[in-house]
Amino acid sequence: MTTRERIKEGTGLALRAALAVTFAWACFHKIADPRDFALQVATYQILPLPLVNLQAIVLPWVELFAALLLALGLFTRPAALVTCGMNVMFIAAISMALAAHLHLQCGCFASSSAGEEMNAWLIVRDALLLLAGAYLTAAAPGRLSLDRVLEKRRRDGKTR
Amino acid sequence: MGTAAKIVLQAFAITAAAAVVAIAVDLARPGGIPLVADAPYEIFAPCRDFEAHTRTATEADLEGRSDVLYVDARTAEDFAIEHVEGAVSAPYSVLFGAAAGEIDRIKAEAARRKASKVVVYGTTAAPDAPGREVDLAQPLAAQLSEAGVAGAGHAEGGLAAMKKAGLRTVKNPEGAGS
Repeated sequence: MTTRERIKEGTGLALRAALAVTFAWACFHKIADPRDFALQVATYQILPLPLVNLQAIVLPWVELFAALLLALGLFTRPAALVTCGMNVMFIAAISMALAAHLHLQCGCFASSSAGEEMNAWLIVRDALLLLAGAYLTAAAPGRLSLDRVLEKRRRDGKTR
Repeated sequence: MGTAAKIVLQAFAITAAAAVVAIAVDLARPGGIPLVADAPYEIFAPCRDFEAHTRTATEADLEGRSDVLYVDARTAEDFAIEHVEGAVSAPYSVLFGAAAGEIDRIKAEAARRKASKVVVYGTTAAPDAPGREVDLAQPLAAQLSEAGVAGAGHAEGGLAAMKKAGLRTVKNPEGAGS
């Protein structure tokens, strides 16, 4: 394994871990208290009322699925693409709230009473997560991933 | 099927699987919420309280006195086309506010001119509603006030109101490009 490959492998693994931890951390309070999260979604005043609860119910589980798959390295590239989609959505929502001068909690990692106040740095943070997701979507899964193990098994099966 | 298309399809499948599990768990759990809210949420998301940090310019502030520093909150391009005589430009971004360097520059300029008051003006067209103007002056005045600029206030109505009040302007119809 060359130094370049080692760097690539290490970068992929670090970004996978970072995204997995971030999204796992983000989903827990939302799953634990869907009512509170639905209120936060409504506070953004972006979605029409019929979609607020659906978003509040589904989004945290999408975050959890993506986090678990990234942690395992299973379906790594599609899971990373899912995080990209979510980050694009978060950036749009935060931008719209900032543009409307709404004074609200982000709702990203904590309940409505203990959340981070809305500011432009949240966009920078989500943009960095978006870049990490984009890298993992584009790059091949690393050695320490179930994707690689399954691929190897498939290849071995074919050669037998 | 190409690799990219396969990845996109798998991403949709992951989202769909998560959605199915999410809805099933929500229906089964005691603390679940209805899929569609039956009544609007009572939300309270006030706009930032700019008023607590700034004051509205008085008629006396718009008389062009030498102890008043006028600050133009619009883009540098708009400033170049026309601005109040003697005004300084400090473009205000709705998302990011004014840059720290701009605030420092206004502070220094106010000190240099011995200005006892700073009056901010400027509006921009609302991107989502043609014909509607978004006020940039009050948020910038609030930012200046929070940064310790004494006597920061805002004028309502943008450049048009400043001209109506009788303040002279400097025009360059060719704008920033000339």
